[in-house]
Amino acid sequence: MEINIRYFGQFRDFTGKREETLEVTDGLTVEAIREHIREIYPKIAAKEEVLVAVNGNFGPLDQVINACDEVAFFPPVSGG
Amino acid sequence: MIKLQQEDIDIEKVLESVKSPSSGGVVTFLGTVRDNAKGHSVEHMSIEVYEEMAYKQLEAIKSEAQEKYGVHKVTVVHRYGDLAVGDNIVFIAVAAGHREEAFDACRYTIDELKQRVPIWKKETTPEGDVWVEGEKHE
Repeated sequence: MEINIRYFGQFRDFTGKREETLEVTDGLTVEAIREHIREIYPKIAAKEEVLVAVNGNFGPLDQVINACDEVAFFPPVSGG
Repeated sequence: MIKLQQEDIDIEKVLESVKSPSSGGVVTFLGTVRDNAKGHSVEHMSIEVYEEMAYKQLEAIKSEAQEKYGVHKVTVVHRYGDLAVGDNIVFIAVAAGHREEAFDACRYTIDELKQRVPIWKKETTPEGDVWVEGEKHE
């Protein structure tokens, strides 16, 4: 299936992208997709903490991603 | 009210909007752009936001603050885009019956915002642009 991924903060610099569509196997968990992204982008892999949000929420790592979900990757937030 | 905006914050207007006859006080927090960070000087700052998620998280924090501390109103206005030293970044106003819960809820709101609202700062320094590292969670 295809999933849409968005990047924010420093991860936009690391990937050179704001978003992209990736072809992944069905039934992938948040943790598995994070590993996949780490493999594609060594600079993300080098970060101690990589946050993942699914549809605007920080879900559990074993949450299964569906094709219609919006998945976002970013470093620890620094607002305020 | 929860608002993400590029323009400056109308503090007077926000204060008027949270005051009510049943509230005995309003506690506020105003975050501004500092001219230094970790030993280097900061010339200006740009702020990026994941808007849809930020609204969702801020609405959740507001509800939690109201439920946890029983305060009447919680308003958060956060700016994004390019900011200069001294500019307002974030304004939080909490109205409550009494000061204790208003202080606690205001503190809770800014602390949670810094942990989980998807906003990132990039500082321009004499050495170049530096993304501000958020606090670790795991």
